[in-house]
Amino acid sequence: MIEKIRKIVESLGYPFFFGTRDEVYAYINRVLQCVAVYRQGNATGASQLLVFKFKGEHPQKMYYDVFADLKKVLTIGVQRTFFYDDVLEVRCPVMNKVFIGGGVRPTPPTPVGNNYMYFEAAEGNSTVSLMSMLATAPNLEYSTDGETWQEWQHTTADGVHTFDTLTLTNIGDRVYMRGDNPNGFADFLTEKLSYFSTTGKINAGGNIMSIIEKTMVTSVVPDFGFTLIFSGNTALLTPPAMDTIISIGDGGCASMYSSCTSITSAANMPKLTFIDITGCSAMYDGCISLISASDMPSLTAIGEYGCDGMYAGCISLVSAANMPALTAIGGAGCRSMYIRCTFAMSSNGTTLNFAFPTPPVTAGSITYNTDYDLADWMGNTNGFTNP
Amino acid sequence: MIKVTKPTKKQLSANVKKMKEAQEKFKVLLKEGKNLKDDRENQGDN
Repeated sequence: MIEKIRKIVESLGYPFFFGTRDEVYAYINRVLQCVAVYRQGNATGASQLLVFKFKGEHPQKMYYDVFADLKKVLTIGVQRTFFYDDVLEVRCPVMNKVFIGGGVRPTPPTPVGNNYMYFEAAEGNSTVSLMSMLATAPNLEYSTDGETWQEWQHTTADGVHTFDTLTLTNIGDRVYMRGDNPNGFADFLTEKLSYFSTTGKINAGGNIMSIIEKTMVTSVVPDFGFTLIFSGNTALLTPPAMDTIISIGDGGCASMYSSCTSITSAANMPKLTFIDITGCSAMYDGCISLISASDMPSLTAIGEYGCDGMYAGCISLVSAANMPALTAIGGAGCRSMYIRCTFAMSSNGTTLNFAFPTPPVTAGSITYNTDYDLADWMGNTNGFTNP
Repeated sequence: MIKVTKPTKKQLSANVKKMKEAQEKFKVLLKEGKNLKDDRENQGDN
């Protein structure tokens, strides 16, 4: 039977392993994706084979599919997030209760440093608060030293959660933020969102992912994770760091800093490889003081409307975003990316002042020939043609 | 040093108004995204 399973599994291109439970866990600790089988006694005392497909991002956090039974090998039964130190109950149609994972790895995931997102006063008595319409208020803590944390409390009225105002009394006073909000701060389905509210003059810094996951292990911005979250914060002088992010989900950073008129530098994203549909659309729209665009040296693909209007109206911008690795742009992926940005063309409006990539533009089976037209990048209707 | 203050009733009321305005922006953004996708699909069909 094991050999039969092995053949099926290997024919599908998965690594295969058979052994005792401890051996299986030792094996999946070394690989991120595999199919593994082990024997498990059921309630009647009979022994049966359990087949698991594991796939994951890192050893502490893996996903597993339980195959319903041996006749339906490789049919997905259940999918849940699996943590080594959790005790999870799995129910399958032909199996009795099975507990897995308990005590296998008691050590919790190691936080990735302590570079928590922070707000620092550039002017005395600057303030920070957060408002949210989400059904459940975001889970956030604050600290003045990055070591001792307190719950950031909120008051709810008419469905709006208003978090306590934190006043940074003196220049240089700093407050760190962290929390577990894996679904981010806006919800597409209910059309509800959250945003920070700042007054005075505030420099943000530290890893923004600390408000998605305290441990900062994740490097993926969830769909609508930061949509509009700093929009209209004219007190914000610098954005927090986004340097660990490798992927931005659908609408994840859409309008994130729109109308933040005091920001002068966009956050660099050196590890970012993929921007999903509308992921960075209008991200810095109307940031009239923005001088430098993001450095995105690893970015290889932009989904449909991914950077649509990303720097629209950034009239102080002096150069385009660095995206040397870009190989694919979805339909309208860079449409109007630099619309109303004066740096981008000569004063008589006929010459392009920056080099931009011209990769094939595809989305599914459709090729869009106009999306790398200069006119499209500039949102300009003067009739530019491709160089 | 930081001071922590609870929102006043007036602030809460103002925030409800602000959030509703922000929600309208969000709805527009979502609608625009949907319209753009629809346009693109129609373009592709043609």
